[in-house]
Amino acid sequence: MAKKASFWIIVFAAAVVLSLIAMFMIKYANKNNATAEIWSDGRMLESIDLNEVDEPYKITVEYKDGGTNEILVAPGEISVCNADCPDKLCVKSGAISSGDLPIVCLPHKLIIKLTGGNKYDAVVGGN
Amino acid sequence: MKTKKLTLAAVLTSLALILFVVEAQIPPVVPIAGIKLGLANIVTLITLYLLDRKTAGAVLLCRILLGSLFAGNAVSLIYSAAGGLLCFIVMASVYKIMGEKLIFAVSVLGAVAHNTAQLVAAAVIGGKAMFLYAPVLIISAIVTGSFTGITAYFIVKYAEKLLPGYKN
Repeated sequence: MAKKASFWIIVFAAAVVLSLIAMFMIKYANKNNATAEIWSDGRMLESIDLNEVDEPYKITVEYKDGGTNEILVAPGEISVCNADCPDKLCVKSGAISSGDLPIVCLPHKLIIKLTGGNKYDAVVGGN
Repeated sequence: MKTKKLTLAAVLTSLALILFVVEAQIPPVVPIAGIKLGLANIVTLITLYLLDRKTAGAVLLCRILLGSLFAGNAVSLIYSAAGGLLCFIVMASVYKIMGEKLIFAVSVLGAVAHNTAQLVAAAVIGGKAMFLYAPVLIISAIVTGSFTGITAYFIVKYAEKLLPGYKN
């Protein structure tokens, strides 16, 4: 059966559908993510409760090789507003305010992600 | 290596390089690292089906090394190598069994392998949160893999007309 084209078409179509479902689950899950964590090269630099932010402010992360990322912290959301990496995908990602998709700057090994603000990744049976 | 085969391999390598470099100039449609058309993979597929595994591997290796020199940097070389390696291992293992009719499936499997390897490399460097991009990368691999696979299918199918006498 694995030699028929139709078999593979069905397999791939199913994979696409499953991935789409997973994507939506990831994007719209966890509305309680109010704490932003800024990680650089595997170490956490900052943990910011976005709900407690009144005025937007900027954090500049500098790297040993001279590169920089400028992070804009605003009430309820966080984004990278400036970067000198070659692809600038981190800037183009826009702001994150909920959900689990992080902002990533691969060349600078920078990850900004949202968490629930406590030690656990998920609370089962909560409100 | 016979001269004809060597020449063909060299031309294919150039083709792969051109596709790779040109594609690298296209600005990312989506702000996610690793999503690309993968046009150079068409050449890897053609080389597998028209020549042989070893030649395809050599062509791929040359393309990865030279491609990173022309249009990449140290970081992109690692990702390119990781993706290319796993993609090749997968495609070279199944292409004979799948046959010509299923080139598109070989291509998709290769593309999925490619993106998976890049995802793992990104996670090693940047942390487990990278895996959240898995669904996007899988969809991208299936879509682009189908496209490149169908292209390769037609080239292989009409190889005799396009490349008269390529069979040494």
